[in-house]
Amino acid sequence: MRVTSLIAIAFLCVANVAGAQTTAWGDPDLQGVWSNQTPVPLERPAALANKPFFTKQEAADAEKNALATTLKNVSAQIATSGEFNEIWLESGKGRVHRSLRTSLVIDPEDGRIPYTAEGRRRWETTPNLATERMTGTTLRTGTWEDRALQERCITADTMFFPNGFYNNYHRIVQAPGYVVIVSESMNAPRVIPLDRRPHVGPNVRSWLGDSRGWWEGKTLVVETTNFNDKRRFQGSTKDVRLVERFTRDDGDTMTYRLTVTDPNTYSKPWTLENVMWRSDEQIFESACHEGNVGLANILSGARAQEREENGK
Amino acid sequence: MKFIERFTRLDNDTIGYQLTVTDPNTFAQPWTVENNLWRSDEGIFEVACHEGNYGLANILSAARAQEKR
Repeated sequence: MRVTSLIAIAFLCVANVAGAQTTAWGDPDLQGVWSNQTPVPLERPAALANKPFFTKQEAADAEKNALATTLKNVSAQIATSGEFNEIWLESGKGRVHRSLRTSLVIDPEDGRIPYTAEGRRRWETTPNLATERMTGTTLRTGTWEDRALQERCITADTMFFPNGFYNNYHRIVQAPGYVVIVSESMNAPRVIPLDRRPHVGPNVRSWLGDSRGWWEGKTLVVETTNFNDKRRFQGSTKDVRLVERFTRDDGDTMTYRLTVTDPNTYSKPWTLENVMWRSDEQIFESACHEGNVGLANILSGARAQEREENGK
Repeated sequence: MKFIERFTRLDNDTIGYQLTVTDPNTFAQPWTVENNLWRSDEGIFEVACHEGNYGLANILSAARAQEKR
């Protein structure tokens, strides 16, 4: 008995020394600050329709050119005045997953989200900065409630996939029976029990949903349901089910996979894959509403424009 | 300003909480509050503070209306 304990202790010590990949209580250790910033787009662009993989050189170039590409895309869409730069934007830090995919979506094979007609329509009419770009029509400005959830500081989806700009850092903390993931954007924390307890009842709905986790070998699996019907993740409804998989590749990277299921919106489940790379930095306190004068100015600008059009 | 918080388990269902606030620019001496945290078997809500936060906008627009009078 005593020998067995000593061996167990010795094993734990060795595991901890060898890259600290196991916690003191024996779970895989995912703790630390991780970024999922990447230059890889969510869906495969039309120009790369027949090219699912980068070469190593192309991936290196995509990382190297990420900031310049982002700046070019932004200035093609809106008038900028120098505020978009390498200090504000973290685009240049992004990495390409070692699979070298040209889109985050890996299933279906074409790298595109399998929308139903109804699902696509719902997503196109959702106030979101992505739908604004996708449809080429600007968001309505009647009230702040017409604006995107990101602008309103309510929630962002940076854990599921990064926004291309900033705040794509996530701090993972573990305790026996729990994993906590704190996303920098919106200071959004998720406390995830690992004891296989059931989800809360179907009448309880929230912006961040209800997460339950478990281990499959080295992989942390997190299932999230119970979203409210106002938050549309890529057009989904409150029935959406998200399953995330976090797998440590080596000391400094993880593979993140997300499978999205919602028959109201997609013809079949789809999966994205991304890299999470370790950062030695802390995460910011993202005070989204501090100095959030943009939102008020968008609305007052729209009112001024209305007065002008009415000839007053 | 400096905060020192002390969390002490008093029994299975109670944590004693103390907060000591020190800021010589503001207070003549450090001061301390004490309170108990009592265990709940419920989950906590997701406080979506800015969802439907009409009060803040209405306070400002009502103040503008008052100024016009």
